[in-house]
Amino acid sequence: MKEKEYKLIKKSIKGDKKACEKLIKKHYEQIYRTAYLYVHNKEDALDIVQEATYQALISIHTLKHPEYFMTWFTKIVIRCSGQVLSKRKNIVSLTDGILLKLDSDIGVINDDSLYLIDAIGKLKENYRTVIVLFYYYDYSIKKIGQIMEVPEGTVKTYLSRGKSALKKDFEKERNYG
Amino acid sequence: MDNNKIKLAIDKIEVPKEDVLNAIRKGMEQDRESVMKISAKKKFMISYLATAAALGIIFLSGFISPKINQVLASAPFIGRIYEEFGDKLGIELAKEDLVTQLDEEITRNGVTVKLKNAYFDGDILSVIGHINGNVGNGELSIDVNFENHKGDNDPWLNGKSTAIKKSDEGYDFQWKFKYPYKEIDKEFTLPISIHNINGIKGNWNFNIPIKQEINETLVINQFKAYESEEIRININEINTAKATTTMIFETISKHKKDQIDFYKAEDDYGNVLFTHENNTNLNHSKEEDGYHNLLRKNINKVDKSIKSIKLYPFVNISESPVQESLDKSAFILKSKRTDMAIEVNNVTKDNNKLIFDYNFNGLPQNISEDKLDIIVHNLSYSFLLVDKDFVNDINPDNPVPPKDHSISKNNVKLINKNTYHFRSVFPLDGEEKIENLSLKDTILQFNFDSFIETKKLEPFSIELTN
Repeated sequence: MKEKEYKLIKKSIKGDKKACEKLIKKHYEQIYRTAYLYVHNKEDALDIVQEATYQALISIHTLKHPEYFMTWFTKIVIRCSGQVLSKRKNIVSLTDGILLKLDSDIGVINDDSLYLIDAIGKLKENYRTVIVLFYYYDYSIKKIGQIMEVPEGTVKTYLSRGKSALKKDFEKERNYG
Repeated sequence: MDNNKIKLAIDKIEVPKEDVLNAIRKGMEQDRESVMKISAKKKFMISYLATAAALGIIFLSGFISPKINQVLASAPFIGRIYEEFGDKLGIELAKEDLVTQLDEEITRNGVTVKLKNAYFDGDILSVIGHINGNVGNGELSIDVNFENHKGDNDPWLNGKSTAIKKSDEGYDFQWKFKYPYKEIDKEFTLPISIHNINGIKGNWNFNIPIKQEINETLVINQFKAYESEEIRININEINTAKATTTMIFETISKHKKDQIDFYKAEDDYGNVLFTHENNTNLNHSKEEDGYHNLLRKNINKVDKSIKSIKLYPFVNISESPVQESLDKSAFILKSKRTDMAIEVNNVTKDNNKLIFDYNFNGLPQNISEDKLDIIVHNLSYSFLLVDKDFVNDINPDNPVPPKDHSISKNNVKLINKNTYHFRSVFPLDGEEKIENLSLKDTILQFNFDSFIETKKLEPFSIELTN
């Protein structure tokens, strides 16, 4: 971790809000993309960014080790995403018309990437979290276990099941193209 | 699929920088509001305690009102639990002392369930509880019903969400509900029956008191009609409670499966009251003028000074499949409610394949590659070949293709993307088949539903009566 960021985290823990805002803004892309992988639309992803910022701000004083800031904050983003998802579970799905529109939020990207993001979005929540933390954040199995509060063995199981589900779905999607 | 691919794909998600930075700023400000309010409360407590200390005699004589004492002691704690669950509404209501303390506890088979507190505001209801005992260490699952309903057939489960947090001993949980009935009862008793916690069976049955203080109606019966779409929207009521505002509205359409809703609302200062907010379904019925759907939506709290609200509706137009007999080799399948059409240029039977060559007319020009992929994908699901003697057996509400008399699977090939020219090949010897197929006795159905894009309707305003 860079010295500058370490200082920002320490300041934030002591209650310096400007430092905290700066710190969160440094990671804006990662936060947004993580949220997006759960909810697959811009509006909800932005809501999650806002809520996670608020949650981080009111509880950063409890963070004991500054070096774990990003792990700790990722946990908050994932929890907020999970809350939005569980709120949605009982809701009638959007029509294709809206889905077409939402897909365009992602921007112009090639087919494979689109299929992959789509396939990640279809994974069970636990599998998805492990996949995102392992591949996107490059976190170790141990660290992921700490974030998700499950044993390392469970993380490994989630990872291997998530990977094979992803592979299956990805190849299925691609073959239609 | 190599590992790097996943990271690269995620990195390609476009980030709307300004919107994200703005969301972070809003999150910061959200805290400012709550900190300001909390510090006002703290000040009050300090001055109260200072006064009380100066008049030490009050403490000594035990003259202090137990009620005030309890409020002082409990308010920050209740607020804290809502803060832990990230429930802004709960924090707000706890500050105003509008949360009911429950403290009911039942132990069965070594598992204790304690219901701690509840609130009810507008159509939102929350119950917070704690579970400890022999429930293991992993995820927590609770099988529960409300109001003595059984299984999934429980209207309270439709709008229920559960948040769970591990605490020092056991788990804290919060259930949040959307009130499932049209007429909101401001005071009632809610029976809660928990049957199973992480595989441990038992009867944890509670009856908890639920009430809310105020509920004021701001709008009564205003409507907007859209003649060309054959749609009407009635805004029946807008009700404000302490911290929640709800809107009850009815959509009326000639077409049963049309989905009509609002994607946004703004007050007369331009503040957005909601975007893509979900509804609670209250009732649906078929009447002379069409299919009615009664819905309730949560919106941001409406300020007293607001005179009107501008609503932005949309409709997802639905239509039933169209069909033609294959006794001819060129024909047009026309969409009933849009300008789209499938122009079949020719039909050829080649050994074990039936090949359709067609143009898809009425699609927007210059659509992106991604959209084109989706269209090709959807085309492979939108055709149905069916034996004409069985076509009337298909139930429109649950269109299951008749087995051994229909084929839906086909492979779609894009021939020319500028003219939307496609070819669909139906295998005749696959899993799906039509016994004794003869073209003149076969019908081709096509469903335009998945190609019709959401239509935004002209926004309209409603006046508030406050």
